[in-house]
Amino acid sequence: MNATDAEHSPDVQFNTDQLAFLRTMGHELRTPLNSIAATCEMMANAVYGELQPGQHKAFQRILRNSSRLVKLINDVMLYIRAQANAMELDSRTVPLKPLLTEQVAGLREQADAKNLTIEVIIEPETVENIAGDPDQVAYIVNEILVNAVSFTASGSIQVRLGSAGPERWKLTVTDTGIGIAPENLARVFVPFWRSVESKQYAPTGNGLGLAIVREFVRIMGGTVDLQSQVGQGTTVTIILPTVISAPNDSPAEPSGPDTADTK
Amino acid sequence: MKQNEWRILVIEDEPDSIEVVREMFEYNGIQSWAAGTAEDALKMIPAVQPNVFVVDLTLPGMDGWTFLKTVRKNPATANIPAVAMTAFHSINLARQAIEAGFAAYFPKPLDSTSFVRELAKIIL
Repeated sequence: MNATDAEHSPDVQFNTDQLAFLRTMGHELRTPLNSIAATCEMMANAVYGELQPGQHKAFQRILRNSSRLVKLINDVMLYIRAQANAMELDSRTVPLKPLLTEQVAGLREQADAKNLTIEVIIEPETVENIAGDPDQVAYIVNEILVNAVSFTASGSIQVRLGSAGPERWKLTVTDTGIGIAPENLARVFVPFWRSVESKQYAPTGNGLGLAIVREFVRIMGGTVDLQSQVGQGTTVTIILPTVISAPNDSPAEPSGPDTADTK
Repeated sequence: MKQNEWRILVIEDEPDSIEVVREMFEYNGIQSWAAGTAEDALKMIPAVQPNVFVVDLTLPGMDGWTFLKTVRKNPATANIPAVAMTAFHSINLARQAIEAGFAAYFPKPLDSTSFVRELAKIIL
């Protein structure tokens, strides 16, 4: 089944005033959270004195959950802005292989812990560089890889970078994980929707990752396709143009309108 | 330069964020001062004689970007390294900060160990 045909969830359309309100809210939520997280990090590192084992564990828990909240706030803001076409996008040269290598390296530890092998295949026709927004491309690649590792208990993950015809590049990630039931293939793109299995395998996930991927892919003029069999694994195929021009083609302005959301 | 010779001026509007950053420095035996606005920071420079600025990019009044431009124009402060900190991590923002002339960029929440280690590369 082609999940790109999936019906969109009943998305809320935000107007400019509401977007500005949400952006400020995101900032206001993040500010105190950052103080909590940084203080906990110092507590856990015994900056304020040595800790009993139980205390160390408790501070690690606060730290872990504050990080989760920070990620949730960031993801909500990303989703809302992407969905409202209100992202300020960059268009610059992005070397593809280093981006993929970095993302895979970031997941090695988690994969090693489960004895999962990650095989990376770069097909000869793969382009060196694409033009687009590095943050968006990195988000997509990361999300797909994190899902593959999270939902695979044993076996392997194959990451393939290649071409999909003129001026299109392709990322295919195949895992030997739990798979997705046919009736859920479209639902995985619905914001906050999570399967029962998803809650077991990735309890700290927030159900926004693939919704954001879907929006980013739409903005870039690409496609995302899911093929899956329960118990066998999942293959995600992302096809994107090699040149993605920023719709609001203004030069990056350091003190530009994005700064309200960048603190 | 030894860590105990560092003189860090933190420019940050959030009182708790200031406290967190300054505790981080204090724990590492580093002296620091704090200003709640860029305007106040500019006034404090002659008395504090900082050798590094730690700048929150979003500030009431003059923002962190403008603060950097201002200190760069003054020969007395033109060569003092400045590092940026922001709560929203993005490759684009990190790049913009480096292009604007910040010596480094730190996403919040700051990790005390790596923050001090990275500062040591900047404060020579």
